[in-house]
Amino acid sequence: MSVLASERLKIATTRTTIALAAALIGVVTLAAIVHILGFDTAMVDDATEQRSILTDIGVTMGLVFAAISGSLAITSEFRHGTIRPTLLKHPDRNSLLVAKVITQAVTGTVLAAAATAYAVALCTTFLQARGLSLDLDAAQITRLIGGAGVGGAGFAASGIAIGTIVRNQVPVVVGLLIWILFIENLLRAGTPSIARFAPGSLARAIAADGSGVLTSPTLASLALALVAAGVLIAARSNFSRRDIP
Amino acid sequence: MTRRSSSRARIRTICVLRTVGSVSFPHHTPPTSPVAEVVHLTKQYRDATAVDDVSFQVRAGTITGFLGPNGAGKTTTLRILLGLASPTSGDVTIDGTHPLRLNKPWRHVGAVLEANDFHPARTGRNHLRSLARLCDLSDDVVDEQLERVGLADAAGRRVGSYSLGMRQRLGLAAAMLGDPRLLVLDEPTNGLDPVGVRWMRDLMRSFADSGGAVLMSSHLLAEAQHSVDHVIIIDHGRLVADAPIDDLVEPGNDLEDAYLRLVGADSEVGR
Repeated sequence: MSVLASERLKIATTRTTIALAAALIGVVTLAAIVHILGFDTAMVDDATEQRSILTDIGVTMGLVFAAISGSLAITSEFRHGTIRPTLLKHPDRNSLLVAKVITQAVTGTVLAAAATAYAVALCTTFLQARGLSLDLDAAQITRLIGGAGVGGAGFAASGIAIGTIVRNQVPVVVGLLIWILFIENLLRAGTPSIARFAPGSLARAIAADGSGVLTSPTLASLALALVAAGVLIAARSNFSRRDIP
Repeated sequence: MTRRSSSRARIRTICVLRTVGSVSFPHHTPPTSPVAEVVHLTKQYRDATAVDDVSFQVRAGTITGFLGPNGAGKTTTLRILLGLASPTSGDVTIDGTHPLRLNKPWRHVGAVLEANDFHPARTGRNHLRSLARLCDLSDDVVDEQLERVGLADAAGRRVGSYSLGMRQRLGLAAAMLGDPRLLVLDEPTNGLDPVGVRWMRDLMRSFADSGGAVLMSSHLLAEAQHSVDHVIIIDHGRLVADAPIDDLVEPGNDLEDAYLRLVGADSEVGR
């Protein structure tokens, strides 16, 4: 519990999470303006299109920032050297990793769910401004927001795992952006049978009806948990074995 | 026999060089039991041996200077002693236990390895609070430590705005959280002004006089001569000397003379 309290305090005593949340709001706002106000009416006036847009600008952006938040939680410890005094007071590296996963899973859930809820509110407002309406029902909106939250936890945990293995902040953040925003899209276009098991596709399947991905949110949640657990096991092995610089 | 090896042999004769597990050649009666012990420690990297069969002890009530040229293996040894790195062979203990198996490690050892081990956007007080949480210590203890190192007034400022001296003090405050028996300091006076050096020296002395042990690495031999009771010198990863400073420094000479002789650099200096 003491290590969990320390991790909570670390999050609360820098502006990193607030800065990430502010950046996320800015990105979602910009994307909503481009998609809802910029696209032709035919591309935004039915429920399927609207859900697809909300998945792209709310869920996916939330996942990106959840993964970045998770990766920063460990890479900033290496970057600023705080990993040394931390491990001197608490040499148990496994429980430190677990505490980071718990705190960042909560942070990732809040970031992704809040980003999606904000996207829904913003899109509703913009659609009304164009004389249109959001045609998603309450259950679909709840699934979008809840699914984003579940996906955010998985992505934050995966971000910690990758940050623990790579340690260097810039390559980790750039690599996560490239994977989530480019490589997964390329996989979806080129090899959809493989892409449906990619983490981003799994999170989209949890948040919305997936066409060409796993359609069961429960199955997709389990698959995403397995992916996160896999990289965390690799990270645990790496963290416990490698020297601290 | 070369001059260098002859010097080493002579020093080895007068020094207390423990041979752990076999025969000991005690020169001085140890004042107390060892707080930290390094036993036949070796650390090899892919193509280099950073530490080569090094053994020594750190005793309570003393300030031990850990000296050696750049790349001699000092920091590697300290990191292994603190459990941050693993040895290729050999063992390290603090209060008789491996550092990774210590119960409440903050009661046994505190360390400052780098002067900049802080998140620059966090305040000094919050940095200590985040570490105090790990030790189940209250914020009152944090405030006591800040007072002790003279940072109470700057505690609410972000560490990024601290001077090097203030960072050294904050690092020490973090190391002393939990009142450990052993303080490990890597180049503690680096970058400090004369007032800061004096302050650091007095703090180490006070810590040792109260029964603690200090292990400090340093390049600053004149400063080390003023500060330490016992000297350990390594060169190219190997132990060169392990002796009370009074035994190492011959009358009329200083620690620098002894050091240069031991690492075989006196002939180069004279050239």
